Amino acid sequence: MEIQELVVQLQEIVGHQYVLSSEMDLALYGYDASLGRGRPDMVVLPDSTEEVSRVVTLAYQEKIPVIGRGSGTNLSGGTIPTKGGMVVHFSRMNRILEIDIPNRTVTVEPGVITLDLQNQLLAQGFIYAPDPASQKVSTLGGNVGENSGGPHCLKYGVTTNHVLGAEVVLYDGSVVWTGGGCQDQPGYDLTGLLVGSEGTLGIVTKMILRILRAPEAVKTMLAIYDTIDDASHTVSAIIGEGIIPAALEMMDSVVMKAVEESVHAGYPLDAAAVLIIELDGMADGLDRQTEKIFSICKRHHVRDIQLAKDDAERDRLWAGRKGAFGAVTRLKPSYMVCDGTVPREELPAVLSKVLETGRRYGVLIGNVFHAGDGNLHPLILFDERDEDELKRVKRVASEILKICADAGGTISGEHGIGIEKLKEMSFIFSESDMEAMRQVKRAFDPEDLFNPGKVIPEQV
Amino acid sequence: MATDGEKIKAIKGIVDPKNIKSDPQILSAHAVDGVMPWAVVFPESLEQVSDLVRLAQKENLALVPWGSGSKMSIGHPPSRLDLVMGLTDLNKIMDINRNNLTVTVQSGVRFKDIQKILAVQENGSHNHRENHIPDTNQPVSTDKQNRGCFIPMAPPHSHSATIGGIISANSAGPIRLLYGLPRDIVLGLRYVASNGETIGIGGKTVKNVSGYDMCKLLIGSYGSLGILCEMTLRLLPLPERLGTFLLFFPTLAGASDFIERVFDTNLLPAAVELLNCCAYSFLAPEGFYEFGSDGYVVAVGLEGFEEDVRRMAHEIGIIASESGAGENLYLKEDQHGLFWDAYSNKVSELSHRYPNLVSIKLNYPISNSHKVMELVDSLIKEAQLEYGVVTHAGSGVTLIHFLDKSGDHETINRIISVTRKLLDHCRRIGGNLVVERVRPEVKQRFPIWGELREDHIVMRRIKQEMDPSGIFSPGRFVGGI
Repeated sequence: MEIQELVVQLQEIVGHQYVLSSEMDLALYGYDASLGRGRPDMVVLPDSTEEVSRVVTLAYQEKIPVIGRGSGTNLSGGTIPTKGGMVVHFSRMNRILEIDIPNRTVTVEPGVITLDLQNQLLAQGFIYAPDPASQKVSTLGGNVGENSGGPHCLKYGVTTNHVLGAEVVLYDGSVVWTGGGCQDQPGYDLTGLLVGSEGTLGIVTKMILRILRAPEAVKTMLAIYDTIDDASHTVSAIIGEGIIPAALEMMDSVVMKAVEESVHAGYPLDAAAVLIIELDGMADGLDRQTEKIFSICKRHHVRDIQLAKDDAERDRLWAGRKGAFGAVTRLKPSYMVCDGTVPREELPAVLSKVLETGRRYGVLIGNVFHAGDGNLHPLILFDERDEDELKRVKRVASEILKICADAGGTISGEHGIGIEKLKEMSFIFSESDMEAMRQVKRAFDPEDLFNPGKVIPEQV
Repeated sequence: MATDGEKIKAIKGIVDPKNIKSDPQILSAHAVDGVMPWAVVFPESLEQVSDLVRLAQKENLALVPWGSGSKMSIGHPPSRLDLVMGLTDLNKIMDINRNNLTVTVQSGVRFKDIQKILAVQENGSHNHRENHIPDTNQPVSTDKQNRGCFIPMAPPHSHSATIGGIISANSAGPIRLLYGLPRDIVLGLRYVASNGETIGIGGKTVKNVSGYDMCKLLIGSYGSLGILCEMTLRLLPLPERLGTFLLFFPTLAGASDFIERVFDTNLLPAAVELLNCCAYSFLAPEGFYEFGSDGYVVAVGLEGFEEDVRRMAHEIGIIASESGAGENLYLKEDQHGLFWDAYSNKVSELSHRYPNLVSIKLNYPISNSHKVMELVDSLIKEAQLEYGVVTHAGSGVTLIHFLDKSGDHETINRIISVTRKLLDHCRRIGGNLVVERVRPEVKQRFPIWGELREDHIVMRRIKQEMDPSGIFSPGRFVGGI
């Protein structure tokens, strides 16, 4: 079928104005927050599961790739249509269908903005725990597709630990529920498999998420260090002493300076690193744990440590952290973020190797990351227009992932493989490991139409 | 196709001949739902598992993996069976990393043996090790000074169960309320696939989105997709303080009201278990407190920082008396340990005492627990059966043990009828039912895995891709996969 004819058929399914195919639209939906570029053949904006099902059925008949998309904040190229096809954009399917406090679940459509759900829940004293830094714009469908993390995953786990069930449109357009509103459903944990599959196994059209009672009390601290080494040893020591903070984040001087200029979070400009340490839970035990953290920090030569006095101060500390990726573009127009994760005791050694690699290639690296999880985010800063620099950046990124893999870690903690890290999959997986993943892909998507070319490298 | 003699010879070329058993006593002890294997083989390394699976693939032999056997009653009878693969000789602890809070173990290690070793790991220690487990039956130390660590699980049959069996069955006990399920605790796995290749998935970090999350697929797959050989689990520091409330309620309404009120506070109990007095009588330690024969017991497990546990104990005591709790006991450290240890393990004795035992598990949305318990009581009382019932409150899971002494046809019919009614109810509210134990002769009359759901079509396709000739536990899993 010709593209034009397909557009007409899609218009019949979702409505005339909800199929986009102008040159500008196709350019706009051809990229995400990574460095890659692609171009879809059309963009479809369905309004219901039934419409998605009909769209997928048509795509299956015509053998056209289908790429699900939320807000496009993806950092690994997972939403880039590298093989054409149709982008299915979920901006219309953005309803919170049910908040069920007695059963501690919510049912949502994939286009709901993460923070919108969180704000509604908080008003009722509940939380949806995963809090990716992009939560202001990211969608829950995108979070599920990527198995997103966030600062508070240290204590609460990542997205997959909070997804109970999903309504999914399969390759032939049929619709099934996996999991559901209760635990311990018999059978394979297909929901667990779908979460983090980057849209390559099916299109999720509804999700049942687990919610928790908001913690009774929160303590947020800012610890300031003169060396990165002291800061990263503090991280291991806190966990070693039996405290699992809600969040344990690190930021180095490069990032702090950029952040301070844009957010004015109150970070010192002459320090080498800061840690944001947050405890939450029942109020009773928190004071003694806070004292313990103060003394651990002092043992590791902290220059200064402050406890946020109120919510406003706490919000200010976090605003700097959450705005960090945006702020670094003050230093250089582009950045590439590596997402390697290592066992946390390897953190000091790996961090210094990362910085050394940057120096060797003459590129600037800033660090802002989930230290408690061992989840690094070296931001390699550069100018995309400088082709020579771009080449070096890609080499540095790959070397950093190799350093993480060699330290017993992995190449992506929360941003996904997409297209950006396909080559590096071989750092951690053998050909047979990847073949096992291809079996799963074939079981769900025998014609390779859902987001083709992502996550698993082609067979060699 | 090789003859039986040739097959045995081929197996002896893979494992030490002493590790292949075919004497009738051992075979019948390893019968799966009454179906006998012709050999039981105990590989000692991943390479041996891999070679055995290759052989099975070549000769089309059906394999069933076996840890301690504590959960072998779950599932359909195998559609065919050649070899039982005993995994208790895969018993090495590969790595304990106290700083990273992870442990990597082989699947045949007994759960209690790992917990015991973890409990004495000091701060800052990291042992790369491959030692065999010392054979000891000492209780796990909970000495607070050294702050060892633990796998945050308390699965049933914790004394005998192997870690591989627990993960294969996604088996969880009371503290799932606070810490989650095996699916939340496993970080990485190695399994042998149907082509004999060893597949490594996940890793040693809590955050990991590299490739598909295949761990989730293998956890709870009951040996139907591969042979689980090694796993990395996340650990937590041992809690500073432990304690347990045992509360007696004359009525279900009182017990449910109490539970609802506890969940309505900011308190974070580790476990809230609701059981009838019959279940209490067979799960509590010998010579423990008695609460009579009629009514309900709620056991609330508390773990955490000293101040938090103290406050929880105080407030829960108040809520209990307001909800009409009759008796009210608070168990400190040692008694706490004694109680929960028995609670997880005495269930293993039930099938010896009641050879006709039928155990079923219901799941449903958590707010339905009171209604489900009411229905359970009324249906089973009407059917005049003796039963123990246990609910993991806050998780939406209820276990029922029918204590059938007679084993006669008529009693089984009544149990089946109650089971079907409960299945219907659970399905209507979005849940399901699994029959966890029933003797093989009547098994086919029960809805073993409850009711198939629409996603079964995908499960079948996954099985077809990952085990095309059906050598792993054929026919045993959901829908006869």
